[in-house]
Formats: sequence, C-alpha cells, structure tokens
Amino acid sequence: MYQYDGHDQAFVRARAAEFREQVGRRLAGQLSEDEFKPLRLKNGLYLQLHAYMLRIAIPYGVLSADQMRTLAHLAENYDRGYGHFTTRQNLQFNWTKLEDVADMIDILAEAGMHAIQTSGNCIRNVTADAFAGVAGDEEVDPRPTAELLRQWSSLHPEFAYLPRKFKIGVIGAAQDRAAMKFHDIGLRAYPGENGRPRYDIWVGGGQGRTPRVAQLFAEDVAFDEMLPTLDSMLRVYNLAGRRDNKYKARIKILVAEMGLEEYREAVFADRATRDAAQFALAGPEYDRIAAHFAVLPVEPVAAPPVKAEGDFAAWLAHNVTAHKVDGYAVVSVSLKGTGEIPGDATAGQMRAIAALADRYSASEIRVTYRQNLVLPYVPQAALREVYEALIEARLATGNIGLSSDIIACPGLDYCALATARSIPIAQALSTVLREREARAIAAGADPAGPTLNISGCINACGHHHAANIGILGLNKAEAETYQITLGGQGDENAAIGEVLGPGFSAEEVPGVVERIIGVWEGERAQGETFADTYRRLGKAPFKAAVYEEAAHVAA
Amino acid sequence: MWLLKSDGSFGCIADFAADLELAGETPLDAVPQVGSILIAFAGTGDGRGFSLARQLRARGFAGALTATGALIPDQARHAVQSGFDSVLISDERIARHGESAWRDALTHSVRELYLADGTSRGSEHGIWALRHAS
Repeated sequence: MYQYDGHDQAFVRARAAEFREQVGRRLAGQLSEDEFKPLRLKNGLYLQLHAYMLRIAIPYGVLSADQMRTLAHLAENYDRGYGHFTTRQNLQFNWTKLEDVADMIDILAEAGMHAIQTSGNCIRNVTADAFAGVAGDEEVDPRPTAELLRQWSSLHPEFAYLPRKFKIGVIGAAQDRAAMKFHDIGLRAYPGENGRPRYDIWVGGGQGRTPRVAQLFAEDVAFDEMLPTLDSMLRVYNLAGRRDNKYKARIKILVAEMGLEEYREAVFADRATRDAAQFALAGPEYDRIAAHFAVLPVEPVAAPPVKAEGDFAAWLAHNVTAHKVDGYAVVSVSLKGTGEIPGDATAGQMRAIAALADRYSASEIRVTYRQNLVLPYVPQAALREVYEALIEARLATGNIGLSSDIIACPGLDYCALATARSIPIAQALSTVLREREARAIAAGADPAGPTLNISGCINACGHHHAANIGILGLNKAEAETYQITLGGQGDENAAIGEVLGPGFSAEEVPGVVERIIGVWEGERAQGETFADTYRRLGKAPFKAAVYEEAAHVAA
Repeated sequence: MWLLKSDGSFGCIADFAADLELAGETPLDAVPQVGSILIAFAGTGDGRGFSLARQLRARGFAGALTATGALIPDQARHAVQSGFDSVLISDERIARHGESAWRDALTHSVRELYLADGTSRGSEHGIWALRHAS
C-alpha cells in the first residue's frame, strides 16, 4: 500500500496545526460560526444532533493494521467505544467534543491519516474499488490514480469553495464495485502507454434529491490529459454552477441545464488556455505512487482444497472471493450482523481485524462503500482460522452481497439533516432477511436476493436510489414514513430506482419488503436476479402485492 | 483599510485604487487591458473569485490583482495561490478577526501544496516538484 514520505507527513502535520489554530480563533470569538463552519467542514467536523461528528478519510478505502488500531484508540478515548464506516469509505465518530478534535487530528497525523475534505463544498475523499490490486477481473489498479487525485485535490486553492460538494470515484475493472456512475466525476481506467492508464471520464452522477447516473464526458483520454481536463471541469463548475439553491448546486444540475455538449465545449475552451507544462509532473508522480502498489505482498502458493460444511461453507460461499494470486483469497468481513447497526464496529472489533490483518493479510485492510471490511491477502489455507477468529469477534456473518448486507446511513439517531430513523429499520429488516437467507441455505437453495439500502433523508447517503429495494425515510405530518423504490442498481448497470407508491410506517416496512421479495420469488425465471425480473415485469405486480394486500397504507 | 501582500508584508493603508473593480462572479469574456484589478468576493463560501483570478492569469493578465470583500484570514492562502498579489481588508474585518490573524494568515495556513501552479503568487514549491527535482 501507499506509504507516506516526509512530504506527506509534513503536509498532514501542517494541516493539523492549522486546524488547531482555527479552533482556537473560533473559541476566542475571532471567527463567527458562519465563518468557522466551512473551515471545520473541510476538516470533516459536523455539528450533529447530540455532538460533533468527526469524519476521518480512508483514502480509496485502504487502511493498515496500525491505522485501524489508531482508529480503535480514538474510539475508546474520544468516542463511546465504536465508529461507523460510511458509504464513502470513511469512518465517522459520532460523539466527539470540539475541544478534543485538534488532539484527535494530531493522533491521526502521526498514523499518516487525516480528515481533510471529508466534508464541505470541496473535492471530497476520493473513492475506489475496494478490491483494487487483488480482484481477478482487474485491468488497471485504480489506487495510483486515486492517490494522485488525493494529492492534487488536497487543499487545492481554487476548489475549496465550490457551489457544493464534489465526489470522485475510480475503477479499473468491468465490474463496478465503487458505484462509479453515482459520482460527480467517475473515472474508468484502462491500460495505456508506459504503464500509465487511459481513462473514460464520466460526469454528473449523484443521488440526493435529483438522482442521476453519470454521462460519458470523454472517452479514452490519455493520461497526460486527465488532470488538466479534471482541473478545467472543476473550474467551469466553480464559475458556472448554481449557488442560489443548494439542491441545484451539484454538477449534475449544471450539466443538465447547460447540456453535456455545451459543458464539454466550455471545459475544452478552458483547457486550451492552460500551460500543459503545469501538469508535467503528474506522470512521474503517478509512476512513483504506482511503484508502492506494484509489488504484491504475497507469492503464489499451492492451496489445499478447503473442506467446508455448515455455516463455514455458507461464509466461504458469500464472503470469500477469488484472488489474482494462486493460493490466496479475498475475505470480506461483514459489518451487517443480524440486528446490528450497518457499518458500525467497536474498538475491540477494530483491534481484532487489525490482528487478523497482521497475521493473515499483509497488515492491510480495505473499507468497502457497502460499509464492510476486507482482508485482501488471506492464504486459502488459513481461511478456517480466520473464520473462527471472526466468530470470536462477532464478525462472521456470511451475508456479503445478500439482502441482509444492508447499506444504511446513521439517520435521525445521529444526523442533523435526517428526516427519519434508518438504524432501527435496518436492524428490523436484517433480522427478517437473515431468517429468509437461513431458510434458503438450510434447504440447499441460493439465498441471494435483492440489494437493500436505506437513507434517512433525501440526501441519500444510504444510496437508496441505487438499491434493488430502496427505502427512504421521510417526515410527513410529523410521522416517519418510508417510501420504497424498486429497480435501482449501484453496479456497472447503474440505474435509479422507481418510487413504488405511497409510503409506510416503520412497523410496516419489514412486511412490505417480504411481500416484494415474495413476488420476485414467485415470478423469477431460473437464476434471474431481482433487477432483471423487475426490468422484465415492471412495477405492476409488486404494487399490486404491496398495496392490495396491505392492511393499512400511510398517507 | 489594510493590505496583506503575497510576500507576507502587512499594514494599514490610507487609500487604495485599482484601474478596474470586478465582482468575483463576473464571467470573463476578454482579458481587461488595465494595469490593476480589484476582485470583490460576495461571500465567504463563494469561491468564484479564485477561479476568476486563475483564469485571468492563464490568459496572460500580468498586472496587479487584489482580492477583497467577504474573505476570512484562512482564505488569504487561497487568494495568493490562485494568482492574487494582495488582499485588501476592511477595518471592520481586521477588528473582528484580529489583526494578528490577518498578519499571520500566510504563515499559519498550510503553505506547501502537492501541485504548485505557475500562476501562484505564494511561497509554495510544490511537493511534486520537490520530489522530482533531480
């Protein structure tokens, strides 16, 4: 993985010192809350319902075992003993105190970590495929590109006060494990010349109030053109993006209002004014970064066949995937235990994962946008031991990619923006869905089902638009009501779910979801996924089953 | 009023004049043929002036560029690194933010960036340039 050099280390230390000084001026009254707000947000600090929330960057989801222990230390000493992994591959602490944050940032800086641009109207932490470097289908490792973009965007002087937040995602395989087309800019890397990639650049994806799948901005862009193009894309957005309404301020709205063609012309016109020499060091820097990832930390080994039965077999089937190196496996660790809070991990669990990474996975851990963790280099011969250690840590749920692998935002239990709770809905659903999966496994059937994501407000941090079954919590007539969308997909076939009809109360949601799954099970062709069945049949049979059979429909 | 210059010098000035005053949100059609431009930022969260400055520099404007308006000390770095030569600050903002916060604005903020732009008036070298100097 990427290792900080002295420059990176000095950079995060300087940022930590700067933030400490900013907090001091806020506490002394030299900055108003309105003036301080963008400064704290650019350092990942939100004022939530009960406390400050600190969002720590895990760039492109890569974490060392030591860094995980640093997070465990912060959870124990500055929070309530746990943290929450997010859909942007970040980690949130929900119970921090303003006066502690500068110390927390110092501790992070010592571990080569930071909270730079995890919030605010700037270029956010860059996300990438969590299986980068180990996936069998990978054409280009997205991590060097993501790290290059992290460096280019960090404290970029021109793009720190954009109309709205700006998210960039990078993938390098046909399978999209990073929801690339739901980013403001998405990059799909392909093999290029001299070991540097070429890119398809996508623009204008996003969720929130106006969900959009990204459009293809430019195809097959040479490496040397990528960064100048992104810089110009951001400049045109910074100058022309709407600032009169925060719900119309994302680049997706600018592209929709200008039209893709006109936006593209404006970007190319700006790029033409630039001195290409400005970006000449991007290539050598890419090569330097890529060298950190070029050497795999493991050598091929002969792998004895793994004998498996019962729960271990089910865990192998769902949580363990093929590795590009013979004799190794990619192990996904589910943070979606039955009745648990999606994405939450206790300090003890963080330490257990760190210990497993040290012993079995080249001291490396990944965070997925689906709020799970990954041990990327596990010898197949050690899978049984890893599984048993995960049971000890209460992290052995074998449900990766199944319906009970629910994405959920923190919702009204924590978030100042939320309109309804997400966590209790996720907890209730995970119990129901896990029972269904257990029945299927016991019967020797495939337990796979629709993906299911929950957001506690229209901002859609829980990616509900991108789920086969999306659940959106709203507040209507002072009561929480949950709107269901069907048919969304967050993968390479990105699609936005369609609203099924009027919403339901929290208590009704599990029964409604069971009826929707029941329709799919009854109608599906052999092996057909939920998304395919929905595309073939449309909304009608689901609507009929849910609304005609429902005893009570909320307004 | 007060002037903070990109070389770090800072002081009270009696008057200030620029050949042209522009709002930060002004679309740039042609590069003005003047010796100095004052660009006024409409709000702390409105970063259009930074892009306007870089655009002017990219298109060859070599005169003096000064930023003013709703800026806070923490944005002085952004201004200088985006091509401004100086920041003009009102007495009211000096009083509220503190004279020392503005005096130290360029030394208390992060000074080194990864990619230093050729149009920057800041002291940064660029970490990429330092790494690949040989």
